[in-house]
Amino acid sequence: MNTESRPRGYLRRVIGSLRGTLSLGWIALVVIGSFLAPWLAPHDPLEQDIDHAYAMPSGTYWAGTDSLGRDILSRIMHGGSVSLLGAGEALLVAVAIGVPLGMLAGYRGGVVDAVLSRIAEVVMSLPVIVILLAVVAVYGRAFTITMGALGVILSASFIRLARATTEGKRNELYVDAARVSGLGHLRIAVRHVLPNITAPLLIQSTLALSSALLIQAGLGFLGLGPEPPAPSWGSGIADAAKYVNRDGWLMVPTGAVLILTVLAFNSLGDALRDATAHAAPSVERRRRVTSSGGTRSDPGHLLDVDGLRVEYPGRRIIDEVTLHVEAGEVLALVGESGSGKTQTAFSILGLLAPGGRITAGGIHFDGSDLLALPDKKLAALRGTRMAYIPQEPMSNLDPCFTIGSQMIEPLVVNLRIGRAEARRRALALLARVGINEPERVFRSYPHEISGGMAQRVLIARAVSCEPSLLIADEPTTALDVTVQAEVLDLLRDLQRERRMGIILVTHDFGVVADIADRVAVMRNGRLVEEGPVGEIFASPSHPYTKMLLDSSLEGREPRKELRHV
Amino acid sequence: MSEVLKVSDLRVGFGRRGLFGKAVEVLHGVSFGIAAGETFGLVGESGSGKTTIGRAVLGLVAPSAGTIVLNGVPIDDLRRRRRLAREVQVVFQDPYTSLNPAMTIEDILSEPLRVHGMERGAAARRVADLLDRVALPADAGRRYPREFSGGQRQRIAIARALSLEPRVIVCDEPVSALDLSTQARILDLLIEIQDTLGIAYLFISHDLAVVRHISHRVAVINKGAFVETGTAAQVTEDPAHPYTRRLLLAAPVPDPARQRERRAERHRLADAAPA
Amino acid sequence: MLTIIGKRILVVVPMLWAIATIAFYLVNLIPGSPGRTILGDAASQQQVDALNHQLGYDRPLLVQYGDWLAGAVRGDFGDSLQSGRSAVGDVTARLPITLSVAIAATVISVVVGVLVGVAAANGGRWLDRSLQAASSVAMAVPSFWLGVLLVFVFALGLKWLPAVGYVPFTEDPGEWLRSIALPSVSVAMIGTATVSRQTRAALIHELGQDYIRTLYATGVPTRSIVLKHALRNASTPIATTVGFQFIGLLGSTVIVEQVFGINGLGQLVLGAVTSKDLPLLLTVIVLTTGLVIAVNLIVDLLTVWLNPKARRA
Repeated sequence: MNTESRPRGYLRRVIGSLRGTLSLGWIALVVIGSFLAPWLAPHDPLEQDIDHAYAMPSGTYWAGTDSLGRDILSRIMHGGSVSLLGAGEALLVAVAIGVPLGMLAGYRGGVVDAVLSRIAEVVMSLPVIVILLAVVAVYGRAFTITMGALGVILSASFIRLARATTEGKRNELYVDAARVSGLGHLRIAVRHVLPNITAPLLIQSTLALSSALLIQAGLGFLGLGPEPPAPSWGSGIADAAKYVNRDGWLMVPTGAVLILTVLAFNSLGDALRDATAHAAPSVERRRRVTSSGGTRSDPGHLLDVDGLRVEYPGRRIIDEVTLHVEAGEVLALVGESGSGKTQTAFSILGLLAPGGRITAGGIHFDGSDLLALPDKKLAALRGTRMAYIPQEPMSNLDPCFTIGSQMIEPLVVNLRIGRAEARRRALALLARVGINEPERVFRSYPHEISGGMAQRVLIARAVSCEPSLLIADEPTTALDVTVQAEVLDLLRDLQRERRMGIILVTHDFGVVADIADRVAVMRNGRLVEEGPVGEIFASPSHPYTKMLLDSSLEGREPRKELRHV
Repeated sequence: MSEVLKVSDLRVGFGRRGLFGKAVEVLHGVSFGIAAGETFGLVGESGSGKTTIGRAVLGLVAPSAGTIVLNGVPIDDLRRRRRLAREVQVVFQDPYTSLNPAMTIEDILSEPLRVHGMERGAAARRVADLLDRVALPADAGRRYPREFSGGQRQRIAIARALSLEPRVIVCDEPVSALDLSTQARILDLLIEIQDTLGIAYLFISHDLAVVRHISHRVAVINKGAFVETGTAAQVTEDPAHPYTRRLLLAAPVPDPARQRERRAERHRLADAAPA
Repeated sequence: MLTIIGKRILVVVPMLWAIATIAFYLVNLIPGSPGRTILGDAASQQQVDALNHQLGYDRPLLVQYGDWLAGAVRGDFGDSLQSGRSAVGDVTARLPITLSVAIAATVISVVVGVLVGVAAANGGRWLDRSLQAASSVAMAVPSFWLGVLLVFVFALGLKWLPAVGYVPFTEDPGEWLRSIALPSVSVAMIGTATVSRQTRAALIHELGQDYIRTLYATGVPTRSIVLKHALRNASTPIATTVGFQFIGLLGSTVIVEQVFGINGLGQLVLGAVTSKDLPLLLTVIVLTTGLVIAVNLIVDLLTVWLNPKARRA
C-alpha cells in the first residue's frame, strides 16, 4: 500500500520525535555557539595562560585548558564554524552536482544512464583521504578547495541515490499519466519526481554532513586543517593525543563535541527515515495470546473457530467469528478487501503479522486447543497437519534456493526421512501436480519458472506431508483464468484423493461455485452468513450477500453494437 | 468516416537487453478502429500484448511499424503525440499508484488544464465541475490521494482523464484492482459518461465479464495478435475461435450448477483438442 | 559464471584508465615544477630548468602523459622525487603494513557486524534498542580519537598491548597480531556499526517478506528460516555495504597509523604531501584505487554467487 505523505506532516513528525528534537536541538546549539563564537566565547581562543595549562574544568575555564593554557571551550566554539561551513560546502557541492545528474540518469536511462553510472562508480572507488591529501599537496591548505573536492567525491553517492529513486518513480503510473496529459520532461521531473524523492535525499544529506565532519576532523588531526594556531576540532584532538599520557582529560571536550555532532546528524537521518512510510519496521516478535477457556468445539469437526477476535494495536479487525470445517470438506471464506478473511486464516495458522493478537475466542483443531498450545507444538502442526497455500506464487518462494531444495527441506524436517528419499518424493509430487519436467523444475530457481508453475510447486509442497487441513489464501487470484481453472481442478483432485479439509479464502463467487461445499461470508471483520453453497447462491438470507451476488457482471446482457449515425 | 481512432497493422518491438540481446516483437500487426461513443474491448491474458496496444495509442511506447490515426491525423512521432494530448487520455489499473501522492486532488486535476493554457480561475471552476461529474464531494480537491478509497481514487483518475475533453480514453484494466461491488459502480459511471459525452473507449481487461458489460465490440488477443473480433454478444456467446472458447469456459461463474456443466464442457474441449 | 567474471574485468580496465588519467592531470596542472621541488628555493632558475630537461618535465604534457601511461602499464610509475627510488617500490614496501590493519579491520567489521545485526533483528525489542543505540554512537566515533583512547587505556594504562610500532608477520606472527590489534579495532568501529545496521535492516526486511511466512507454514524451524533463508537473501545489500566500507577503512587506516606510529602508507603519503612529491602521490592514488576496485570486484562476484537472479546478467 502506498502511504507516502505530504512534506509538511512529514517534517512535523520528524521534529515531533524524541530523536528528532534532541538531534535538532544539539545541532542548533552547535551552530549558534560556533557562528556567534566571537561574541559568546568566554575567552580568546589564542590567549595562552601558561600558569593554568592542563587545567581541569573550572569556573574560569568551563572545559579546562590545553597544553598551552588556552581555553578549550573557546577553541571548540571558534573551530566549529570552520568545520560546519566546510561540511556545508561539501554537502552543497555534492547535492548541486549529484541530484541533477542522478535524476537525469534515472529519468533518461539508456546511454546517459550507463555513462553517468560508470562515472559515479569510478568516483566512489576513490580512496577519499588519499585524494584529499593529494589536493592539499597540490593546492596547499586552501580549505575551500579541499572541501569542494570532498563535495565532488560525495556527489557520487547522490548520483547513485537520485538515479535509483528517480528510476523507481519514472515507471510510476502517475508519471505516465502526466506524460499523457502533455507535460514536458522538465516539468515532470520537477513537479512529479523531485517531491517524491526528497525524503531519501534528505536522509543522504545528513549522512553526507556527518561523514564530511569526520573526514575534515581527520585532515585536521593529520595537521592539514587550518594553519595553526587557528583552532579546529581535528587539530584539537591531535593536540590532546600528543599529551594524552600527561592529561587524559584533554581528549574529552573536543572529542565529545565532535562525536555528539556527528551523532546528531546521524540521528536526524534516522528520525527522517522513521518518519517516512518506508521506515524499517522495528523488531517485534510474533506473539499469541493463550486463552480459549469456555469456547466450544465439536469433536466431529476437524477445525472449530469460536468467537474469534483479533486486534492490532489500536484497532479490532476481527470480532465474533465462529466457523468450522469438517474433514474432507471445502469451506470458502468470502468477502471484499478489508473483510478480515485473510486475517482469520492467519489466526488459525498462528501466523498473524507482528503486533496482531487474538484477544478472545478459541481455535480447536484436530482435538487440540491451538491457542493453549506452546509455540513449539503449534509449529510442529504446521506443515504436517495443516498447510498453507499463498496468493502470490512468485513472492512466496525463496529466490535464493532451488525449487528442489525448498521442496526437500520440509520433508526432511517434518517426516525425518533421508535426503534421497525426500528427493524421490519431491519429484513424484511435482509430477503429481502436473509439472511436465519435474527434474528440470526441481533444479530451477523460482525466477526461472512461470507463475502458474510456481503455484503448482507451492501446492505440491503444501500437501507433501499429507496435512488434513489446507488453508488456501486466494490461491488463484494472481493467475490467468486458464491457469486458474487448471489449478482449481488440481486442488479439487488432491482434496478428493487425500480427503483434506480446505479453507479457501477468496473474493470471487465464481471460484466458490466451482469448488466449495459451504460458504462463509465476511464483512468488516464479522461473519455475515454461512451455509451450504447451493442454498447461499439460490437464496442468500443477508442483504449484503445478496448485494455481492448481484454485483456480478456474469449473465448480464452485453451492450449492443453501436448504431452508426 | 466515423472512426476517431484507427490503428492499422501496429507492431511493437522491445529493445535489445544488453549488448547481445535480441529485440522481441510483442505485437505482430493488429488493426482496429473505434467510433465516437463506442467502446472497443480488448481482452487477453497476461503477456498477450493488450497493455502494449494501449501504451502505443497513448504515445508511451513507440510502434516499430504500422499507423495510428487520430481524428484523421496520423500520430507518426511522439512529439506530435504530445500536441494531440488533449485528444487521448487514460485511466490506469492501479488507483494507488496512478495519482501523485505528493499533490492535492485539485493540483492533480488542474495541472493538465494549466499546462494547456487555462487561467487559474477557470481551471478551478472546471475542477469543481469534474468532481461533480464523477460524483465526488466538492471539498475533495483540498485533500490528498491517500485519503480516498480505491474506488474514489479511480473516480479521480476518471476526472483527470475527462479534464481535457478528450475524444478517446484508454481504460487499462480500470476496475481489476477494485472490489466487486465497486467495480460495477465504476463501470456504470464510465458508461453514463460515454452516453452523455460521446467519448470513445479503448477498454483493456483480462476479465471477459467486465469487457462484455461495457464494450460494444470486443477483440480477443493472444500472443500479440487478435484471434477474434466481433460484437460483444458474438464473441462472448458464440465464440468462433477455440482460444476464445477456452478463455470463456475457464472463467468460473457464480452458479454452482452451471459452473459444473461448464467445467465438464471445458474438460471435453481439452480432451478433444489438447493445447 | 566465467563470462560474468570476464565482463566485469573488462569494465574495470577503462575505469582504472580513467582514474589514472584524471589523477595525472590533477597532479600535473599545478604551478611550480618538479625540478624546483627537488632542488629547493635556493637553486637558480637555470639549475631547475636543466634538471627539468634532464627528467623530461619540459616536454608537452600530452607527451609526458603518454610516456607515463606507457610506463604505468608495465608497472613503472616513475621515480619518487623525495627518495629518488621507484615510486611503485616505495608504495609496495609500505602496502603490507597498511593492508594488515585494513584487512584485519574489514574482517572484524564483517564478523562482528553481522553477528550484532542478526542478534538485533532477532533478540527482541530491548536487545535491539540497546544495540541500535550502541551502533549509533559507534558510528559517530572518529577512528583516530578512538585510537588515542585505546592507547590510553590498553597500552598506557593496562599495559596489555604495545602503544606504538609495527612488527612484520614474517618476523613474529604473535607480535604482529599484538601490534595491529589496537589499530584494527580503532579502524573497524565505524565499519562494524555500519555493517550491523545494514544487516539488521536487511534481515528485518527479509523477515517481513511473504516467502518467510510461507516457510513458517511449512514447519521449517525458525533457526533455518533466519540463518539460512533470510540471511542469504539479506547478504546482497550486506556485501555491497562491506564493499563501500573498505574505502573508508583504508582512509581511516592512513590516519590511524599516525596515532600508533606505524610506518605504513599514511606516513609515506604525508611525507609526499609536505614535500610535494607528486609522482609518488600519483602512484599511491592509482594503486589504492586499483585495490579498492579489486575489492569491489570481489564483492560483486560474491553477490552474483549469492544471488541466483544476478547470475543471468
